[in-house]
Amino acid sequence: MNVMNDLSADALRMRITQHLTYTLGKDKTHASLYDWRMAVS
Amino acid sequence: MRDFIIEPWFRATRKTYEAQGKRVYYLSLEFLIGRILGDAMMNLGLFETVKDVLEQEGVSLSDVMENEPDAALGNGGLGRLATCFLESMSTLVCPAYGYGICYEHGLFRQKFESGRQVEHPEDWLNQPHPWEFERPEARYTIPFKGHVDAGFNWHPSETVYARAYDMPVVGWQGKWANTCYAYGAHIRPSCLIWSVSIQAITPLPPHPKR
Repeated sequence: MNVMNDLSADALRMRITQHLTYTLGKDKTHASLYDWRMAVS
Repeated sequence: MRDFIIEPWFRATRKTYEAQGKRVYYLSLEFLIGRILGDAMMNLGLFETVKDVLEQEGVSLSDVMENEPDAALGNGGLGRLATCFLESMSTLVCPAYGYGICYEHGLFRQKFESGRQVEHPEDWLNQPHPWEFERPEARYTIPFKGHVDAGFNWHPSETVYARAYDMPVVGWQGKWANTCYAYGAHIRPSCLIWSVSIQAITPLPPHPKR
């Protein structure tokens, strides 16, 4: 299945968390508003 | 969100070129795109889902959206209208391209100190802009200044590079995304060094009053 078609809350949570971790190098505990914004964007 | 825009963006570009139909080219000195995150979530129908996901993480979506700097690419009506046209054309599946300028310090922050206006530099590009794709291969030399000789030929004395930044503009329900090409100005390093060298070796002209 194309992951881009999965718009469920669980899939979005996973993608946001992955961006936060692997793109921005932050974990949830230390993420700033900027980090969350970039992860969601 | 950007990942979800890429697919309709690519699809729209492919369809446009395959159809070889007419396209709209919208040239404007301003594209007041504003804050994109909220707009993208609404158009993709993901606003409530993202809000719920972030709430479960203890993060407020409104705070996250407030954190996004307003892209200082326009002042008001003209730029806002241009962006609205692009977005509307995306919603209507009308192939369109916006061409504008990626201002780095196009605006200033207005403050009042002791009753007087004080201008502070606009620094929205001090942090990465996640909605743009830099295209270093799309670079054009822009000449300016210089003089015009007796044969009306222009001899520019300076040049800058114009480099393209692509921004997808997604329409309602994310079916189609048009492109806004914003060109940023970059100085040529050799031009800067040459300018410094010339100033270093050229004696100052005599003062006109002496």
